[in-house]
Amino acid sequence: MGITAFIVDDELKSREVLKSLLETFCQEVQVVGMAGNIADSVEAIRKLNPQLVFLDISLKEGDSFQILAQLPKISFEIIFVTAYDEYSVRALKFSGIKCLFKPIDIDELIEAVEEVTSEPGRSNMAYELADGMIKSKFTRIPVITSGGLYFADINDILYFKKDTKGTLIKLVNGDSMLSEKKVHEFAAIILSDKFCQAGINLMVNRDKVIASLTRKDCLVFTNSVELKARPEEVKEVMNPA
Amino acid sequence: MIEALHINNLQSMKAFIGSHFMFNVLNQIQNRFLTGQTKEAVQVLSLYNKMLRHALNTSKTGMTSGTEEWKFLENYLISEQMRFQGDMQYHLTPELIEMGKMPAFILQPIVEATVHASLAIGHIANVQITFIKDAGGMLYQVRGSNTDQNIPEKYRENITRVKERIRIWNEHKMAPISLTENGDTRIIRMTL
Repeated sequence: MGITAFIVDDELKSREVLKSLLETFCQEVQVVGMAGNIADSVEAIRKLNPQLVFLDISLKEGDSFQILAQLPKISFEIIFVTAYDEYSVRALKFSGIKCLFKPIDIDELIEAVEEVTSEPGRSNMAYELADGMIKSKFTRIPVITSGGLYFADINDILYFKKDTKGTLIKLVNGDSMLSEKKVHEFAAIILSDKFCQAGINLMVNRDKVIASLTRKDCLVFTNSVELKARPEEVKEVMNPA
Repeated sequence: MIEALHINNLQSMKAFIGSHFMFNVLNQIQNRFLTGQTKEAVQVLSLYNKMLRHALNTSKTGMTSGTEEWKFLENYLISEQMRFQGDMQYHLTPELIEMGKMPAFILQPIVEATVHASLAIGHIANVQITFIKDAGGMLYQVRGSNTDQNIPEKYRENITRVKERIRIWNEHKMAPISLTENGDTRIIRMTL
């Protein structure tokens, strides 16, 4: 049985081409509808209940996250499509959401369809996570812990450090959070130049480091938190290239 | 050349070449080939070629001639019109200008922001770009049709980038440039 799909793109030609590519190269996909704006998309998706939705990120009147926000539940798989939107793509990658670039590469399209249909079930949380990052312009980063999803203000973070289970995030108020993501994955979504990655296991908010108290093998932070570190890591934080 | 100005020239060129717009042009080429519109595909390819060359030609000095900039602007507008078809109209007045040197990447980002602000309201976008030369220098007026005056955030960055370029230019050059905004009308004055 085929997979029902819906296409959202504000350019008619792009909608037609994607439909044609799917019909030719992904024959298991049956395009049941297409729309070019937010209101029509919301109405049609509700009515048609497709299994897969292709969403152009940037629409004339806004972005496709506005479509998702108007739906009570996301009960379909999503493949985002964009011409070039570096920041949105960073957020989507971090959230584990599939994204294709225009002009569409046929191999990538086939791979994306196979991937989302063979591993269904990306949660509403993934879209909430990507949207939160984009809307805050990456000043708030999502952390999924055993207790749920949190958005941490990057100004409240002292450092990210590798942990056996992922990454330990130390906050200014003394709290810590543990995420399954790796330090380098957080580095990809931190756009602030206040943060310095020292090797692959540590990323530090340099604004929170007290240079005068920092020792050869220990970083000292503004709230008196101390972090043991290798001398080369300390050196990299204190004297970034 | 003054380093800050040189860095800003390169940043402005990178912002254009790596822009959403340029990848959309490539997408248009693919779309037209795949739908059998070979002639239109070649036309868009030709526009892409001209715009890319213009961007690269200006990278060394950050300067262009007014005539070239006007042609570049027209190529940009034609490709956006081909993309959005009946949803967009533009008027360049006069059709041709013969002017000396001016800094590149000041006019086009403003026009792009105005085009997309006008498209965002859902009616047919109407953008008018007028050039006037008077005793005070050159005046470029860019008027859109978005009466709500809200530029989509992504294109608001164009305005911010141009303001920064003008700031750096004015710090280092004797002939100042100004940008004023009044509703959906933006005026660039160059006293070159």
